[in-house]
Amino acid sequence: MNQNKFFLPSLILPIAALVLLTLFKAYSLQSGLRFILPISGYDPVNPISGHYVTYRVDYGNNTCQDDSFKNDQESCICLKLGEAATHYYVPNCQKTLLKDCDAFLKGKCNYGRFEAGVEEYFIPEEKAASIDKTVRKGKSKIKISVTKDGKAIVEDLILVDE
Amino acid sequence: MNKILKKLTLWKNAGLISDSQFESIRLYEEEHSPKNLAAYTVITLGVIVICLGIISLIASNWEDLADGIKLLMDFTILGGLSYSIFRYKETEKKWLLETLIISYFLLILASIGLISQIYNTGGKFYQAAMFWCAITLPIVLHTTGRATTHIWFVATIFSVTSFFIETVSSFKEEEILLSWTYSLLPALMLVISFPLQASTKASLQVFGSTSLFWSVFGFLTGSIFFSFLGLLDMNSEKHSRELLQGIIFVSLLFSGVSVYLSYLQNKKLALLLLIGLGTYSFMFCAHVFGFHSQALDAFLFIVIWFVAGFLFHILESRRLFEFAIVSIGIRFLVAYFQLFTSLIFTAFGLIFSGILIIVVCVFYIKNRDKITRFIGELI
Repeated sequence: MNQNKFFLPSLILPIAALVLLTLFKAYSLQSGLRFILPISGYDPVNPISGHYVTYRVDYGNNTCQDDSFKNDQESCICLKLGEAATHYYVPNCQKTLLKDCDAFLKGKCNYGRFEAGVEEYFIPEEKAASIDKTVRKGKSKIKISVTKDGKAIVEDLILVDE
Repeated sequence: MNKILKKLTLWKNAGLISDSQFESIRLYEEEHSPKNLAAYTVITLGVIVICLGIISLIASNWEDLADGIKLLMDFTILGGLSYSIFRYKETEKKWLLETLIISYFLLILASIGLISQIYNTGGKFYQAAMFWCAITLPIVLHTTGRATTHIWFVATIFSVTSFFIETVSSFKEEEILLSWTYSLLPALMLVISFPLQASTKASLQVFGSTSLFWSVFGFLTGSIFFSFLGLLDMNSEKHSRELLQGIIFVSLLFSGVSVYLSYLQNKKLALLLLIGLGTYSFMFCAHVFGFHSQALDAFLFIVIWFVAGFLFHILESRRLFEFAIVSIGIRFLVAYFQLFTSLIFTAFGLIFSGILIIVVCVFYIKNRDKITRFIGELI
């Protein structure tokens, strides 16, 4: 068994792939611009990564207003730096509307909800219930790191228990 | 080993083999037979349970350890395991190597979970499973361990099916299940199984035979769905129906190629596949084009499972053969309850069917040579 020269590369491939994935995620997190967005949500479980809180991110009033159904067309959120900045929805990621943005977030509308892969945050099992309770109050926020090509990673969950 | 010893003693007492032959066969078998197979199977189970425990530990998102330390520990364990596998790749203790490979295989999934947790990558479980299957495929193609290969096949079938269910919006969920999971996918697995089984490399032979197993399993599960649930009552839009018909055509094409490939290796197997796949395709079309009925479904189910039974018989898998025959018996019972409302009709029907089965079986046993010769001439 396993006499050929491809056996060692086949063993190393998964580790190499996982290291690359880790480095890519770490780089994306480090290199992006940081934005803080308000959220509200609930707590399900993923079989391999555990409890996570999932929430609805508030990007502003007009986000996905015309899309009550699942829309496969890519859309964007124009992001502006600064605590009091107003972000806005850009249908079909029209370049003319994105040129004044500090960064943009790519995603799709799903039944009136903008989804950009930042709607989940993994939390420790023992604190899951209390974090979930706090997030449901609707005052919490997320800190995201956005890359130049519009992809984002959630860096932190900022809990506001009021 | 005990079974072989009993046989050897019988043959020695009957004068078929001498004392020295008895002794040399016994010594050979003792040296080459797998030692305490049950214990090793339990050890493998133990390893799987430990790996699941590690996955749960990661999933609990233990706060006492920093993310960097978690990642460092994870990659150290993976590195250690891959080194051990490479170190013991030529070992005589096959169970040790298989145990290490299974551990490595499952801990790769745990690592994906850990990275996803640390960097909050979100995403669906099937995406992680697809990534896992893709990066572990080379290992599966290099291992002779059946447990690892079976786990890989289950994960692949699950993740690809979930991918279609989540992303294809023009089909209903049950249409995706029946057109992909119970038609195209088993046909694809069947078509790759024959060249792989003919390979000179033991690991590819294992991959091929596992592929054949899951292909037959897929078709048989499909026959249960069609037969009992009748899920595919087509009322989709026209373009979906055309797409579905296209999928059936591709599945038929793969099936045709499979019959040809099996014909090159084993003519009996090819004949059985031809009958089985033909009947299954007819059952599929009966549902897609809306001419199915309970009686037709029951009849086709019995034909398909009879063919599967003979297939298991050819492949020398006695337990699966018995399972297929028992399933046919149960289907007979269900068919009579479905078709006849009166118990008296059901009773007479079952008695008649039982007598018919025994008569056909006795006829086959008495004329086995003639039938085999006749089939041989047909082929």
